[in-house]
Amino acid sequence: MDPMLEARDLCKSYEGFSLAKVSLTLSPGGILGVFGPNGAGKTTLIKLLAGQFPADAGDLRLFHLGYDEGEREIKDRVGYCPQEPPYYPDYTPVELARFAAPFYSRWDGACFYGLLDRFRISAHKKFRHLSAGQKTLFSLSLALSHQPDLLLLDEPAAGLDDANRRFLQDTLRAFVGGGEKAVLISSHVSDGLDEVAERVLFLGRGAPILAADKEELLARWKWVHFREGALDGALAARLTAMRHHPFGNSGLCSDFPAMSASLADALAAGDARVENARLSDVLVHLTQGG
Amino acid sequence: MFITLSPTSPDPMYKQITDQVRDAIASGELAANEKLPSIRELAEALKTSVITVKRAYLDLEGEGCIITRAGLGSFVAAIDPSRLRARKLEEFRIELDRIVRTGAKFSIRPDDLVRLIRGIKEEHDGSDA
Amino acid sequence: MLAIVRRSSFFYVTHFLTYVMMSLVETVAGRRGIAVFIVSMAFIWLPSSVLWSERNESYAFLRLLPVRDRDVVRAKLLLGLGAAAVYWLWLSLLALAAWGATPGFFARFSLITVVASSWPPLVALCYMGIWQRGARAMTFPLLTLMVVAFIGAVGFGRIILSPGRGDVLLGRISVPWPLLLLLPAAGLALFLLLARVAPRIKWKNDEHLQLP
Repeated sequence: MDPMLEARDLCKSYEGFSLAKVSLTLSPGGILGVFGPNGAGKTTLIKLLAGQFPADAGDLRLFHLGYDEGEREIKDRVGYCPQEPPYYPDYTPVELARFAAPFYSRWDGACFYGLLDRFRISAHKKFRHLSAGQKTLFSLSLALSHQPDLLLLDEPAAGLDDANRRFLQDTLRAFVGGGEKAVLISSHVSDGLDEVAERVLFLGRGAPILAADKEELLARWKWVHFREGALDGALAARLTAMRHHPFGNSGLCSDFPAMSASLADALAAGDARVENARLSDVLVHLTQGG
Repeated sequence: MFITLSPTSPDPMYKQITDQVRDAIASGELAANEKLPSIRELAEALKTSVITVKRAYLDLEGEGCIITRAGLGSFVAAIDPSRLRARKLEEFRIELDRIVRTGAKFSIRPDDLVRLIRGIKEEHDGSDA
Repeated sequence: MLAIVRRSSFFYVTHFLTYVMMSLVETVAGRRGIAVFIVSMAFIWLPSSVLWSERNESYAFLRLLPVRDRDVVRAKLLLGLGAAAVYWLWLSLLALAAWGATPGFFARFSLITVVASSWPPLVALCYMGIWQRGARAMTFPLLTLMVVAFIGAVGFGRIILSPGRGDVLLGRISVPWPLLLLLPAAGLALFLLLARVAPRIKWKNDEHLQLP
């Protein structure tokens, strides 16, 4: 299917930081998770994708339009939730919606009020008096209410309690469920949003480290626990992030399908065990080179 | 049909779906030409992505277990049960190999295991009667 | 767009209302008060309106919305132009009410119009300064400007209001007709020129105002 967003070799530098040659595509029905440590460039990347400022180099097209000529049409179809809520602090959610609504071609007021209700956001409290979680959920409500085709969310889970995080996950799954819309989220893996992502992009210090299908990634990266001496030297050398303790060794394997044949004997004999790696294990290992 | 997804299983989500659908077909729960749930319906129910279910269905189609008709949905193919049986036996073989090896540590021999299986068979026959 | 203008105009309105009240008080107290208002007060009130409405603005929010920078710039500059026109109109009406259709009125009307010609470019420059450096950064410079204008107003006011010189001085000012049309036209032309450049300034500097 036609991709909704295509970014090729996007670069952006400013004092003290630079984002180098990031490429990604988003196809309808997909959820892409951008993960990385603080300062890796997640927010800069999303701001570029959301047209908040122009890139220094590279090509960016959303719905086959560039921001130069199609800014209004793109922003009409994109729901962007920034990390720092930019809304007027002295307006209430209702006033903010009333302010924003006329700009959008597909604004659905009923949808907005329904979401305020569902997320239990006080409709008539000034924005600055809302809790952090309510502010984030308001951002999402506003973004969803203009019927966007693409959602760009920058660390949406920060400040959400567990129940609201669940709400968010369900909402995002429902959003892409029809196969015609897409979502890009930037997050820390610990925020739990990796559960909804089906493709992941790891960023580290302004550069992309890895882009992969999440399930494929988790099928390749596994922890291999083994009894001391159960694996020969060459095999053990292919594991990284080794940990030795008196009752066994553990190493991270980056290409399990390729290793599984060599491990078969040890596995069958019970001298080695394979365990699923978590996405954060892979990310931390890759971004810290440890 | 009874399908669940486990995030802690070593198998990727799509494989969990294909395995369970294949089980349902083999056990007869899904009859030939029966319509499978739509991709969207299954994805929503299992709280997974449409892309994962799509992949599972594609894999099943590749194996010949199901047939997808554009616009109509996916249907169970009239598959030869002996193929599914052969596949399951291979899965059992690997598991049993592991059991035999572990048993050896406890001085349990393959004959002991055969006796165990016979005992279980008798139990099942007994409860069926 | 209407929503943006409406929010921006809040401070313009409050400023204008206080301006009206003060100018009425000054005029009722003695016609001379108007001279001070003509020469100085708008130079404080208009930049102040721009400053406070921009301090209250959130371009990060506007950038989210499907609205072009160019249109926002145009809307705000038009608002500023409109405000300048309203101040000019108000002072003219006040002068008319105070002097009636007499030569005294025409002298003051000329003065008002000549001085008011500088307001549209002034407002445009205030906006552009704020878009260049940010409302917070421009607060101190603009407040300084206003204080200077106030001091200048008081000083100049003393000169033209000193007994014997006030009305006589103003009475002697008769602006030739062509100038009365030329100066406002020049003011507007300068305003339009600045308006043309403004979007480029805003676009160029927007990002440095928002990067982490």
